[in-house]
Amino acid sequence: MLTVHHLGISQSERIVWLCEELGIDYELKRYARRSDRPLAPDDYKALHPMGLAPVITDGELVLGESGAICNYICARYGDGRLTPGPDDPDFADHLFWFHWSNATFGATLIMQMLLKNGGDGNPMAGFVADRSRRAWTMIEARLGEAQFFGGRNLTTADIMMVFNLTTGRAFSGATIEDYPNVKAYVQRIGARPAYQRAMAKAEPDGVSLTATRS
Amino acid sequence: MLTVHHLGISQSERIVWLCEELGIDYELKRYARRTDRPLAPDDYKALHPMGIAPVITDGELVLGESGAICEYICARYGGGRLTPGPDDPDFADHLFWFHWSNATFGAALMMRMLLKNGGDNNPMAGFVSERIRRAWTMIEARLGEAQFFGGRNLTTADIMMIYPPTIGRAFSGAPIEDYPNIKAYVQRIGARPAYQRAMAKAEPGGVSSTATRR
Repeated sequence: MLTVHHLGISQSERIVWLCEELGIDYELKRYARRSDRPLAPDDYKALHPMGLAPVITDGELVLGESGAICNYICARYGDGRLTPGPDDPDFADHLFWFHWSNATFGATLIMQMLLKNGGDGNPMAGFVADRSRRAWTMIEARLGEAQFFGGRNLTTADIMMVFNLTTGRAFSGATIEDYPNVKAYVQRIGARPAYQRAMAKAEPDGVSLTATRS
Repeated sequence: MLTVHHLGISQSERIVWLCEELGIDYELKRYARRTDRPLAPDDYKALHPMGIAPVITDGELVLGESGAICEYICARYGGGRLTPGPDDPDFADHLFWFHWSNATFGAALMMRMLLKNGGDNNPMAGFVSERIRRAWTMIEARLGEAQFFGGRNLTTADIMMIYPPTIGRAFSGAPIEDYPNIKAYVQRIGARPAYQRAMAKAEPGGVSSTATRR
């Protein structure tokens, strides 16, 4: 049985949402963060050598890394749904947002978090600020021209991006107040039954920045 | 004609190597970094709203983001080569290393670059160091059990992963002297004719830390 190991209030919520959108059978194991510091508990860190979320197990397989997990689940259990193929007009756009969400945007957000924690006077602050500005501008523009990051339909690009625009804001400190297209998108996602089911399961006590509460 | 816009001494070298491994027709446009600061020149930044490398153009399409570009090229021009499918025993491993290379490892290296530039008094310095230590440990272990990151054969996981232990060392350092499996891997890659052709085209003046010159 495919098992999603979800660290509370973390990017592993993406995988719970993915499974709900695909309507597949899966087991959810939720791990609360430590109470002394907001980090993963030891039993979560022991799941995978990197000690990060998300992690899935499937028989003998232990797999980390959000993008890899999305690809794996869609291919093995989802009949390739939420994943446009090379003949789909949205193929390139989907690929861009799917990969960019963590590799570039996520990296930028985490650098901002680093600077907030003690980066006064860092000579790279301007570099990070420029990257952030470009990223948010691109996001707002994209959501003005398309319903979803992947284009006409929900894809794993959205599965990846929503966290950064909602729950992840608690870590990065980002605001979406200046971005009407982003706000409308987050509301649209929050209205999806699969997203609501996922958040109810992943965060049973509620989290203030999911798409249902943003 | 597929055009690879390569920023000198940057991660866009991956795409040049990919095209050489696939043996496809492509045009290479090389852009030297600025001379005042080691950043992309204005005409490179103008290619894509994010202003970063790599970028490809293909007819009307402008596509950024290393992972997206790899998938696009393999699917559209490569007959799906270098990309194990769901029935391949190396599927999950390939997916992990392919995504992890930028989304987790690359992000951690950028965080360290940020911290090095702004002093190590940041309270997150220990967190970042720990993440990088785990990463190199995992890499060394992987290359002790498999010839390639993707498993038995070269895949886009290797296309992505070669960068940090070679050219990426110039930006973020890499302790490969302490890791015999990584050193051997870098030598194996450096001996590949396609890699040598790619580096000769991408860095015609030679760069001290490609796999051919370590």
